[in-house]
Amino acid sequence: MPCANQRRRLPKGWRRLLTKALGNMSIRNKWDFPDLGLGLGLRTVHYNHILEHNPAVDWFEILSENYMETEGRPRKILDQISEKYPIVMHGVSMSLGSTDPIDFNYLKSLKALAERVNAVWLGDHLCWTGVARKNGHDLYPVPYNEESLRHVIERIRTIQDYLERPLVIENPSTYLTFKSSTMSEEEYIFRMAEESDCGLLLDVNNVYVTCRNHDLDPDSYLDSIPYDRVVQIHLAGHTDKGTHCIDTHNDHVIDEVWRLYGEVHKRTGGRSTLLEWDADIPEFNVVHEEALKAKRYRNEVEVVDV
Amino acid sequence: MSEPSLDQLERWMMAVVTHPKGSASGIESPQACSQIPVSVDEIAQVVLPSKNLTSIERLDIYADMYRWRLVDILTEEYPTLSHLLGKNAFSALAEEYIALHPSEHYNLAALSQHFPRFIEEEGSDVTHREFAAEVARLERAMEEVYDAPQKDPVTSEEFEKIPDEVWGEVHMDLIPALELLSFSYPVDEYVTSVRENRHMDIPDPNPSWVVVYRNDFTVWRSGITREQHHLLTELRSGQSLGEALMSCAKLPNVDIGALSGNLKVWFQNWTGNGYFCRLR
Repeated sequence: MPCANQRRRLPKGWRRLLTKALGNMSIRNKWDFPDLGLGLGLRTVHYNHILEHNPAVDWFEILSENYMETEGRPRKILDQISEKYPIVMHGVSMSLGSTDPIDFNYLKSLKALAERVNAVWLGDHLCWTGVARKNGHDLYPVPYNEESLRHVIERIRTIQDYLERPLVIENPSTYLTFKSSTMSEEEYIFRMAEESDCGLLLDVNNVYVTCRNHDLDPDSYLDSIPYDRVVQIHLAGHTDKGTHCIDTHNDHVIDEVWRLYGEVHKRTGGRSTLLEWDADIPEFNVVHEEALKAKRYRNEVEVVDV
Repeated sequence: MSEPSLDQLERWMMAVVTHPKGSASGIESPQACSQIPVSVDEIAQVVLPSKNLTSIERLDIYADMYRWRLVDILTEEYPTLSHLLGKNAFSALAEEYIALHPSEHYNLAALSQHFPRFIEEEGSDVTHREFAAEVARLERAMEEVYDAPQKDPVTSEEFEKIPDEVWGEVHMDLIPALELLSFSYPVDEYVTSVRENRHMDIPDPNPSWVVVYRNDFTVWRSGITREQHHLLTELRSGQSLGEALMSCAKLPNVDIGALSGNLKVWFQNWTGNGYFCRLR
């Protein structure tokens, strides 16, 4: 008996064919969230530069938790920056996959912050960060099987109802495969998005890292993404250990990730794109210039060669 | 082996990747075995290898990141203590702390809330323990003041509106972003020297008092006298100014004349630094 996604999914390669047929037309996301352009992750070391120079950045993404339990300088700076730039919130503590109860105190703070900064949208990751009240402060992988899928979908629905807005959920970088997984990550994400009616943040670097770590083909991965649900794209650098890659956000985006970004752009026609640089952070202008490289792909009109 | 439930798998993985001795030890820990009873040799029944990495190596990526991340956070929060103890000794203590007091809150700033007490009472092989614990207490106070609730300070004009005859009955609420600390060592001086990259030997015991406060969203430290510390502590506890001053006057060896003569300047400075958020 076919499962739900098999009934809805079109044959592999369909999206490339559609892209070819439509040229570089934009595939709108189902919520009509705007293409904000090229944004940067807001980082402490750049606060002064941003306030002094008002750089021509299209938008900023904040790590939600950095501004939730403080009324000090980070909150003050954010208030100033949110008056000048669109803000998107991206969190790491929703713990969608955890079997612990949903933390509604966390959600209450998150919702209040979203209203305070007038967040254009907010999201988190497909992961769990702790269990049994112990927090590992990492993005741990879920097993890709029916039990966890039902669990994650139910939690996304509950959280979306509480927050009164769709969540925009990011595909993770993962470093291990559970034997109890029964489907691919991309199939899991497709079904999760369709059945919970959430948005997706497609982290192209995570696609690359995950595919390297699991011996998968990133182009095939991208074939399975429901692009009408993709609201945002992430780009970042990573550390290549030879045997595996770690999503360290500490360097420039590598050429292969740029190529994948170009593929994604051809399939969406333009999505808000964010560069993350979280370790060994260089001067603001270096980070900004890295983000602006995305213009090469965003300005391209070439269609996909199927 | 039957497939583990999601809950079993998560509890198992948490026990494995947060084990102080790494994944292999974690797999055979009672916490992990109570969820999924597999040995290191059988680990592929839970986590598959990749083309390049064994199952244990894949788990170790998460285990290493857990320790590195949390030790890094503690090192950033306690730079003077790390300097005092040395990088390796501090890292070992940080790992011991994390094992004893794992994080339970999404806010990483809460991770080290028990660290000063750990240094004082629990950590093994803490050199200069008493001094180290005081350094930890000051650095933790700076962290807490950084994030504390914001209250707008009262202005000097508001002080001037208080009629002379009611001064004794006035209650002065201190801002939440202010901590009063007393030490057996000149800790503030040491912290300043380390942060300014100036060498300072570990000082001899000598009582000191410090106020850590936030003004215009910047955290400041200031050495204060015993009398100042006592007066502000009494005000914070809810005593009126008159009651607080009476309490101050009862301190051993207090110079009442100097105390009363200094009050005006003290309050001018404290008001200028935004110590008070309400007069009532």
